[in-house]
Amino acid sequence: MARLRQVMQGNKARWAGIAMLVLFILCAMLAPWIAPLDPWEFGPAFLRPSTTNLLGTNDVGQDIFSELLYGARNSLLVGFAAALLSVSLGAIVGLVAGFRKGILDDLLMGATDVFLVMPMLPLAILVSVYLGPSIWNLTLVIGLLWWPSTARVIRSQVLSIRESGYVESARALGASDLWIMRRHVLPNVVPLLMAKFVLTVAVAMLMEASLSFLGLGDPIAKSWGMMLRYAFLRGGFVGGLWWWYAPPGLAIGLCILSLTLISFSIEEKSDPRLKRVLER
Amino acid sequence: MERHQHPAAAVASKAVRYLIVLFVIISLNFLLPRLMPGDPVMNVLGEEAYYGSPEVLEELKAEWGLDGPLYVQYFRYLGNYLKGDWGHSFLCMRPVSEAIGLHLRWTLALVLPAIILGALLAAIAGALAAWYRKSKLDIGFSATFLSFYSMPHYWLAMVLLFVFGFLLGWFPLGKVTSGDTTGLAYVVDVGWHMVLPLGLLTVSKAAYDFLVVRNSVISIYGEDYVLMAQAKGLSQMAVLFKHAVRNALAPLVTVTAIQFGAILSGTLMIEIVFSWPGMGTMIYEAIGARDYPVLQGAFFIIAVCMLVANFIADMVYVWLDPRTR
Amino acid sequence: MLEVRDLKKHFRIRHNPLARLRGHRDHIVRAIDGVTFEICEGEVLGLVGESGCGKTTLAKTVLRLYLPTNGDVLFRGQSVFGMGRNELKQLRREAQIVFQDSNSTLDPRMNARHMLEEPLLLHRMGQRSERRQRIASMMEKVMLSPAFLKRHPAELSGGQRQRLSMARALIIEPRLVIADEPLAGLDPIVSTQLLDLMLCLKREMGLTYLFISHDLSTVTYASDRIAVMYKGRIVEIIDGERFQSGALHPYTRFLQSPERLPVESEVNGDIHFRHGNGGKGCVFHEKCPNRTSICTESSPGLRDIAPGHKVACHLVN
Repeated sequence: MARLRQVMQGNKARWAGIAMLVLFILCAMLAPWIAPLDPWEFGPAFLRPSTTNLLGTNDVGQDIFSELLYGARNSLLVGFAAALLSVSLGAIVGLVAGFRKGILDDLLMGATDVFLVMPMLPLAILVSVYLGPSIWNLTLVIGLLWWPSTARVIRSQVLSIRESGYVESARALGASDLWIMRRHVLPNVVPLLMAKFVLTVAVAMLMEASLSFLGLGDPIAKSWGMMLRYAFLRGGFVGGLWWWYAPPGLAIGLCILSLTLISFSIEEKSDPRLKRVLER
Repeated sequence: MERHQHPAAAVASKAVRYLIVLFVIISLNFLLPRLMPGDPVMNVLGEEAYYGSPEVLEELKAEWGLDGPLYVQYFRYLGNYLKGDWGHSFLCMRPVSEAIGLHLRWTLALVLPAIILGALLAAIAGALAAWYRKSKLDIGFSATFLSFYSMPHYWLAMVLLFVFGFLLGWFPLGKVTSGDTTGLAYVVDVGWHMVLPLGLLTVSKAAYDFLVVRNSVISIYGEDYVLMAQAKGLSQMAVLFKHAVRNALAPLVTVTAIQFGAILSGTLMIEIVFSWPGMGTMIYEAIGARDYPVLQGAFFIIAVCMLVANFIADMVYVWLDPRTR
Repeated sequence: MLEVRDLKKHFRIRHNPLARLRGHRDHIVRAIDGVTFEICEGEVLGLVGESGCGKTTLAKTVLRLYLPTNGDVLFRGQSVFGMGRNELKQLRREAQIVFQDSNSTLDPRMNARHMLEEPLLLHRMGQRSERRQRIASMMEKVMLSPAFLKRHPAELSGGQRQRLSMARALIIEPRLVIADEPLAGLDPIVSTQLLDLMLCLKREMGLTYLFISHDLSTVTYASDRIAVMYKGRIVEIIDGERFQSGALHPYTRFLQSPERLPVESEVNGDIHFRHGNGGKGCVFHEKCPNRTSICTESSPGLRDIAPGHKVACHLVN
């Protein structure tokens, strides 16, 4: 309860972020009910925006506005699912490496370092090309390639907690490793984890958009990245049909923006000292 | 306490680490086609291979040892790669290394100036924003850069090209040159074509750096000698400015190294929209034609670029470090 | 109650492989280098020395937070390092430590009540209602208002945090309390209050203290006996009353001289590295004004000079 009150006291930017995201999520969830038309239905192509087709139609006559709503589903789904996968992996790796130093730590950190220096997009492209077009492949690829970033951050947090006085003080009181992990390490790691999760959703959504744009996503499934691909390929761009390619890009951008704002606010709230610094 | 690592040792250990990464990448390039679903021969040579002449196909099979045992293949592969033979692209009808060589220069022509200009832009904007903290300028800059940071690069490219190329006609609609020009006229022509993509990349890069610069300037702003400098007048401000720049330089280098991958990826996507003949368009076509050798080669060379960038950043950092002490 | 026998704790600082190749050997930090003393039930033994002399390492090793390189510690006659799991739990119940720097030793996420509850939960002392009672009475004892139970460490002043640390250690009713620089970083008024509180609690709860500090005046005020430590060794143990006038070891006199600021040492923690001769000779021989040739050769043991007075110096008979 106190937490909720704290959140409500935040400033406008954070609120806007949360509101926007919630709006998008609602659109995604309620798409079948609020979409005026079925976006898979063919019809007259390249129509301009009108009262029937709020954003006009694409190259095969599908209603763009409905596409946009349905597209939210896949874009957000892939984003969240991939982020969940990667953050979970990263958290486990980071916790294990940070808590049990030694050979395991060195090995894991070595792997993490190698991954961190590799270019993600080309690698994702390479793997996706082999795996074939599907949204689950995309989710898997993004999820399995992005974990090092979280792992590194979590590990350094765990290390700083481990070396801190209060872990030692708990040990002096007779606490076991498990107790310390449960009561001291995890609660201090969770806020960081949440902030990282939100940021990873943003990264995952951007990657999905890029990969779909390149043609590595499911051609039938609706996602914002896919809409942009068709808009670009099938004459939307060349024909100047900005109502086709502007909305999906804008939608992606707004989602990313709101996620970024939310992540800032999580980081602020969790560390009271940081808050004072940020307010300067 | 004596420092227990000589800077040369630090550089050397970093170099070793990067070499290991390269080695892992080549190994990945080797393993992926053989582990992934599908015909392994096709996975290695690319789908177009089957449409080529059978003699060339046999030749390639022999060259890469595709009918031999795995470990023999591996060492052949490693050897070939290190020699610079990265396979044959059936799509481009030329060796992969040649194809990449042709395209890489155009990508670098965008990326390298963008990094420098972007850092410059971020430095100025960040310093100003920090100076006039919480003012409309600060909020305006922050909001703009944050928005640029959030939007997909290629989408921004589309919008930009539409507005400035299509609607306003100020800039050409893509590619590098508009026709046959030579000498100075050629350079100017290329430059004119470059404005939009370079501008976009510069602002994108600046968006990453802006926050870093702003925070580092703010962190020294609160100190007492700032107030003193303000009281003493303009000459002190100049000294202050130099100090602020020096302070912001180290984190800027770090951010650049970390974000290099993102900038590069953004460039690849932008190139597709602008029909810029760089790695981006090459990869795009390779995806369509399932030209795997090209994709692997591109992965490799991009990784090399990233490692070089990281390495340079590390060295610059080491060079900066004892000075600031 | 507590007996420390020739305790040694050495740390190895490893160089990276490249430096090793160039012939740099690993540094050995002799944090504790042969310490022997006892603490009797009900007394306050003060331990003084400059920063970096090994006091905190000693405190931690005695309680088995570090494992020693050599030597032994007997708590109530039983070796601390040989204890099994259950006996160790019992040790933790009976011997506690109050750390310096309450800033880092209190979990910033826990409020005061959680912090006092944790030791009770760890040692399974009572059900919820009994725990609540104990917490309330402990807060009273350390003179913290019950309203503070909801506060987090960041919302407490230095003195309050230190009292909370003490409450946390005392709530399980130990017999021995090691207080490592409990007054560090506190202003004089708060400091005095805290010291009086500590002595008051000692009487009330029948505690035995090992009081570690670098500040001579407070140690002199509070201690029954005082041990002086330098570079990992004890150089003098003397009764509290005779400390001011009757101290004999050159280092102790040096600490007491008015020209010295009785606070931080001039060496910033590098005190370990400087023992020339690699362990031979008296630990103070490099700085000692009275040094002779014997001092460079052999290390003087801690010898009885008078009842209740031990000195480690060749030149004192």
